[in-house]
Amino acid sequence: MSINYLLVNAILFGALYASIAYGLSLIYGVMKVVNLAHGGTLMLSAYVAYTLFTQFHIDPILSLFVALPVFFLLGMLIQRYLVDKIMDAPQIASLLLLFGVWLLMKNVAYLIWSGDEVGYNLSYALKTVKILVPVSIPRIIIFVISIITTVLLLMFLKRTYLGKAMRALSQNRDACSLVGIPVRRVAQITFGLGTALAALGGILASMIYSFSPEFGGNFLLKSFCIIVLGGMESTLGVIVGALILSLIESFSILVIPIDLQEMISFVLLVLILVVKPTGIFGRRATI
Amino acid sequence: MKKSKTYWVIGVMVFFFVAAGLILSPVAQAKDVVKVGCCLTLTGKYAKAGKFFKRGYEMAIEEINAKGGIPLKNGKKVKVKLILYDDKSDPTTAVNLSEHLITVDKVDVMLGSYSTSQVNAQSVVPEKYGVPYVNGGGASSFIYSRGFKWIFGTLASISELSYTEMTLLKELIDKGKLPKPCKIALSWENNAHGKDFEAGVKKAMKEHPGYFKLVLDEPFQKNTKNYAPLLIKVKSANADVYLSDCHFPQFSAQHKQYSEMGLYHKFVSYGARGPETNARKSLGDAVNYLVAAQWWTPLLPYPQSKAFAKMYKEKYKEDISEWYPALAYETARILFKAIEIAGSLDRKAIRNALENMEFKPAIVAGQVIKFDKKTHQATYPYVIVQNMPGGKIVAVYPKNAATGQIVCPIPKK
Repeated sequence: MSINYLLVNAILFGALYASIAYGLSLIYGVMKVVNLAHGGTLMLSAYVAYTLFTQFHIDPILSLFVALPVFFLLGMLIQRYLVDKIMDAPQIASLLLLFGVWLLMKNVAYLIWSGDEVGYNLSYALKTVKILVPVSIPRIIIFVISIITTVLLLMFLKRTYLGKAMRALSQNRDACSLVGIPVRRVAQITFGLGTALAALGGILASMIYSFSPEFGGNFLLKSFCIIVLGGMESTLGVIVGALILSLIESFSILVIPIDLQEMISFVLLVLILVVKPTGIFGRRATI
Repeated sequence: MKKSKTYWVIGVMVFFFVAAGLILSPVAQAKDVVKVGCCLTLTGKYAKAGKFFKRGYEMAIEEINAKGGIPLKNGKKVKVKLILYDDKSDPTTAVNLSEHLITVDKVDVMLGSYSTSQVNAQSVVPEKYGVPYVNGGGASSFIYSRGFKWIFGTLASISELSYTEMTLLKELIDKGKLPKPCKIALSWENNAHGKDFEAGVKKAMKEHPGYFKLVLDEPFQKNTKNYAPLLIKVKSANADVYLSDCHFPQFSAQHKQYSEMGLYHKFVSYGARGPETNARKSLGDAVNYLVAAQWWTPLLPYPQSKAFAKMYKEKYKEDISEWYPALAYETARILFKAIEIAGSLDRKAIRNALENMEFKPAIVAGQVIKFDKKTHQATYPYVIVQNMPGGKIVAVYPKNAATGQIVCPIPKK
């Protein structure tokens, strides 16, 4: 019974972690920019879902259709008016800039929603379905959406012109310009898509966690671990990395004390960087 | 001639400086106001608590000033003047502002900020300058274990919280509602707060041999997101009672998973968590029958407690739902009482008065607040409440504060 719980729980958490990490992976993979505002986006989107639910009784799944386009536009604006200005500067500049954006998002959240921990209770939050063990419906929904997102993202990157342009941009920016790919436009769309994916992760997380303006930091750190583990430019690597992380976190309690559980992601991060810095899938497996 | 003229000028200047110093010195000036310094978390992470603390302090100040001020030994009354700054929920800012309050604003005494981190940081400043400092915002016993002489806390310790819960459990065992020995699964945040909680449980176990058996004693990290591994251990422990010390986000995530996994215990408590409005908003009926220990609740039946709740509603046009303004109000009243007992604004006399204080009737459970001689942290029982179906909350312990009967064991679904 315990092993079943650990296994099912690990798979479900893996799906959530992957949803949260996709946006970070995409932006880094294509633009080589570490988006520290990712944590802020997770947090803001959670608040958006909360507000739409508590004020307008819109289910968080339906709120995705409202929130994702908005965050897509926000991402494009951040790239167009901020990130684009420092693309040729040393990477530290983009790190600091996006960290600043994160701080700004945090303070906006404090102003609008105050510092209270909030959450919302879905009518189906505690209804369960037995899949080896009882699993709540929100977790099943998160799993399904995560799988759908993975499939759609892979298809987009492989089969569409824009997706191929993004992959080309991840390989060689100058060559893209030479062959007529509108580099700045593709970068904007990438950032927009990455931000929308972060918002997706934040909304899904809000279905099972309470949050405050400080929310997002912990997930950002796990996302770093996942994209390093899976390969920083690999979409498939994200889901594999997320699954590996959640399996190790879950089963580790069989050998280490529970209060060391959170250390696992950092230990993995260091190990992978030392042993295989390109990650499991690395650059060769870039989709 | 020229030399004697110089000496005259110097002499006159010295005379004027000395005269000015005497005139402006505190000894020469008659004090008709006591300056109370305070920095609160009015913005930032703890803004909500800061707002409520400000209300509590202001209510106490208005009350005492309406009576003419604090009576002193010389027959005079001194009104209270609050000098308040916003520490932005940042410990460094709290320290800087405390320095400013003491060295520039020259406050006589201080009221504390909210949260262990703020109080822990800022309290070194009044300790350094020998200024009486009373706070109702920091409960961690770490604050009071540093041997400080000038720092007083009106929040009973977290170990007192768990000890009170264990005392209630012992009563339930004696009444046959729980088995003897009662198996307890205990989990706690791996920090000073959680360690205090664990200490209170173990203290009660030692005092009542044969009543309890600790089948799980598991710390976890505050930033844990996945509680399934912990809860699998809890499930495997086959305990009668589950006690977990955590803050709100951890409680919300953990109890959601607890409910989802279909766990059951005859008695469940997450320390002080559960009766908050946000708890029911986040978890719905999953919070039913959860037991929580509080420093204060509007359910307390004492006349002074009801009077405070009524006064709060009249002033702020809303029902009081949190403990913050109550403890802030009581903290300020205790400080003013100490000044009255001291009979002057002499800091040492005020500190001595605080050390020997037996403040009653207090609005907290037990109706008396006094400070431990060694730690200067208040000791009084917590009031224990239980969430009932339909959103109702009842006070179940101590007996003289109870408004209803505890439901134990929790009904199985």
